[in-house]
Amino acid sequence: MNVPTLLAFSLYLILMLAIGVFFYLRTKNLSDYILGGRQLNGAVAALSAGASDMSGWLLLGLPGAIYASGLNNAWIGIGLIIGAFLNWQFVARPLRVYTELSGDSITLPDFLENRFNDTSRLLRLTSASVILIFFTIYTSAGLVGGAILFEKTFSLDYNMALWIGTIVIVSYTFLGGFMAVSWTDFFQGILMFLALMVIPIYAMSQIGGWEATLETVHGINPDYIDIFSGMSLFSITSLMVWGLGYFGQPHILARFMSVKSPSSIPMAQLIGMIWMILSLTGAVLTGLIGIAYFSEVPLANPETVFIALNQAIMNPWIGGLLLAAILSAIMSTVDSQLLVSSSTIAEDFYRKMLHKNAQQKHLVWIGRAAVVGIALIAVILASDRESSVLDLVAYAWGGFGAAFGPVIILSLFWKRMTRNGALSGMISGAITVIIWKQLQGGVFDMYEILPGFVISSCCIIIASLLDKRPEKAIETEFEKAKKAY
Amino acid sequence: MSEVSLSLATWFWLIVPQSLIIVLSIANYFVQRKKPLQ
Repeated sequence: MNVPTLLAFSLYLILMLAIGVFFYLRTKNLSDYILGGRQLNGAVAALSAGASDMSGWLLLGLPGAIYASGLNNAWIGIGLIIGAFLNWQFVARPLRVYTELSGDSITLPDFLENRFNDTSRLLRLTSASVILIFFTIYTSAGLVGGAILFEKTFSLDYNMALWIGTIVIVSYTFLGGFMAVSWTDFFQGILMFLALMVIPIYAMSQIGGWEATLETVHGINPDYIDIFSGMSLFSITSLMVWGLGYFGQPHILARFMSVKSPSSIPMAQLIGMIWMILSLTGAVLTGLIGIAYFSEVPLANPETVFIALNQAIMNPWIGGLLLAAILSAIMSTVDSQLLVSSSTIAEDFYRKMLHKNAQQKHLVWIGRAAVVGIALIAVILASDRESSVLDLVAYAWGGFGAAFGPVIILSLFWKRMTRNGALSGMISGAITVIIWKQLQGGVFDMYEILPGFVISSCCIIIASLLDKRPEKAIETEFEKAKKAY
Repeated sequence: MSEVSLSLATWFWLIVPQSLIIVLSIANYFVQRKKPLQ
């Protein structure tokens, strides 16, 4: 076993646990546990939104795709950057303001029910169920990724690796809730950023600089350095629309809702966008430099390009720490999804449906129990890494984007929207994504989030206009919120 | 000196949207800073 790497990993894991214990002592009520009592510092919100958004894809998937077929894979990154920017610019502040104004909503289902004064509980039940099912599977897929990393790095048995990873993530999430998750995400975000800056820059200097790198890559295949190679307007659009997913991701929107003050959002946006742009640039460069570095003996698995470069060029002590960045990327996504699922159980099902007058201390422990329960289900699912249930993850980004994205945007900006409009948008967006994904060829090769988003938006507008006008109290609350945007 | 370089269109898409977003975020910061809280 590699001692420096083991020590670096251990140090990193101990830091995560210490953060969990620190915030355990500061958690007093359910709002603290699942939304940090809306006291999140702007910089932490920025980096934790970025880190929880970017899973292992940032350090494994994207560099691997660039390594395998060149710069034309950068389109997805450009689309994501534009989507994240629009989300910060147009959704963050209104969502922060409106969720607090509308019954101090602490989850998305909570907000939707309060926003439309839905006494039937249909909106809450539908949205909470979708979040719970998909995030449990998402969490499980993340645990599989983390376990495979442990398995390969330390030659550990897969199941042993799965349990170690799960125990660490569950421990700090269980103890410290949202603040622990956000602060661990913050440090994980810094580590991911450093790794994606250090590795490509250092590797490029080893090869002989930018021009030498470019020349080697060009010599292997000139198409690798052309962003338009093999691309049509259709395929570019299909990659760029991934950015639409941001508007409906509950774990990212939760960061907006938790920021200490709406006035701290612009600075958070600036920090978040710089982090994202530089990290994605680093990931693209890692893939490109990998092509040049491993030109004589190409890698069998393109997704290992970051790990292979790290092993080839870095001192084992620094390399061990940078390798922990991959674990950071995976953990920062898993912990956020785990907490959102737990908040759905504690707030949306338990408090609102079963035990309305439960004491805050009691609710916090329900939240903690939910973290453990969901993690256990996720581990059981993850114990069979080939399980077909995990394939459902492929639906999650597009499904959340299309089901929740238009509902959230229109609920923030369109006064005439109704409960039935929201419900039809959510259902039609999800169904479109599921059906579109089964079909292939021609127009069906477009990434399903685009048709899902369009159809959901149309359904919201049509169903709302066919419905009777919202009650006066709802319109008054909307006007009040809009003034504060 | 190498003659290989990225095409202008590739440079454009790798640099311009990202730079524009940072400029817009900086501008947004200064505009919003002056905006009073309701």
